Amino acid sequence: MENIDWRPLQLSLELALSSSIILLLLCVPIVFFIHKQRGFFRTLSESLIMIPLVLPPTVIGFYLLLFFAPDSSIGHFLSLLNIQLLFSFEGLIVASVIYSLPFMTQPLLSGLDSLSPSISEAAYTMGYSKWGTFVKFILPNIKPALLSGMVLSFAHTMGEFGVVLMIGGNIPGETRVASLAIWDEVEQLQYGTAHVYSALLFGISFGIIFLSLLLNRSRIKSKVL
Amino acid sequence: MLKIDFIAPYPENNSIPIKAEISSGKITVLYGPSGCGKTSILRCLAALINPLSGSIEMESKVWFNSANNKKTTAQMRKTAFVFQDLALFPNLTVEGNLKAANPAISNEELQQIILDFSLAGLNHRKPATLSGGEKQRLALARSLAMNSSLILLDEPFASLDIGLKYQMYHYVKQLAEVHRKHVILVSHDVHEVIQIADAIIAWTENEFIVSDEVSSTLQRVLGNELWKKLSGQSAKIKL
Repeated sequence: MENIDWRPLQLSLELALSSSIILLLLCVPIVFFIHKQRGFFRTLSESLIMIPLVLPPTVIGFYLLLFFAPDSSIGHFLSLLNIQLLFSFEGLIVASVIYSLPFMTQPLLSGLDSLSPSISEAAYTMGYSKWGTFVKFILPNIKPALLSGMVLSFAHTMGEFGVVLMIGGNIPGETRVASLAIWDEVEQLQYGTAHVYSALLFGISFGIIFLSLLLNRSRIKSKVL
Repeated sequence: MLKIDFIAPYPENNSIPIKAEISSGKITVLYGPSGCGKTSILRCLAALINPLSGSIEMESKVWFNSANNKKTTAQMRKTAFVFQDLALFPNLTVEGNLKAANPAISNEELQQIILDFSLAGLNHRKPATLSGGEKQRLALARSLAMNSSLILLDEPFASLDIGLKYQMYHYVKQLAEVHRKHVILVSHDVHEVIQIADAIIAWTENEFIVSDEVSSTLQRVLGNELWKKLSGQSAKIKL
């Protein structure tokens, strides 16, 4: 245990936490906008944000690699701003946000869809603005969906492999997250270390999901009592 | 007095013209079969949608006038709208729902409303924990707490059993007669109209007709034979 490098686990936790927080801030307005749409546009936007669910991670990783390359227009623009996304932790965050997008948007969208539109309309007739309605009556009523989104995107980011390998490049101490470290250790036949990483990832992922289910259950209880 | 003379929008490029003067202290029932556009009219009054053209005037204040492009928002009109699904705020308690409807309400007023609508002892309960009748009473109490002179009820009692319906009619009567509100109730239930209506706006032959003579209007709308059958089954009960 003394020889185990804990940095990959620390990086995984930092990556999962920062990606889930960014996803939460980013997805609430996006999902609220999509929720208000009807017909073709809604189907189109839902399909777009769900792509990472079905696309092989290597495909996303490959295109992000092209986008962030210094000779691409985006990469060139970012280099002018002194931002280097390829083979950096910041690049991993951007990739994780894109890759875990549906894990945040889907629970939020279900939560919003399950709320009756008359809740907002009742608030408008009481004099509340759209923003006031959102903060006072919409957000508090989709708390379980917000929690599910956070938990799912956190757990999903913890287990990322393909995208982080292609964008991060497996640099020790920088982009070598726990899932990549397991792969390295197995390749070097260091099964003991691989076991430690794997068991810890399993424990953390199980613990987070178990806790969120417990929280949701106590919320349902408090609704009834 | 609420004066309405407008054309409400309706899906598939249809439109519904309506012209009426609605007094306070009365229950005016908007009666017609499902799908004739009753809810669209109510939504126009609350500014949840806009009429295609025409005017709405409430106690001499112009709420809507297409001729001079005058429009007021739902937030400005503050009509008390009781929705079919009641739209109680799930995250707030009974007291929280009442306070949300009128943050400036005094504690005395709040307690009086709680007493009037038999909600005493339920103050700290959330809507999910209330019975069907308690939820209905809370929705009506919330409409009174808003202190709006116009109360719009969009078939809120459709799913209740007959006993609970009669209880609710009593509370709606109070809103109109004791609190002198303009009450408009949407209904497609003849028995409900007979029990509760002081005036009627009824859909017949592709238009709404307005009358204070509820029985004769229903007779005209339903036809003599059906009217005889239905009115015989529904003797008016003193609420």
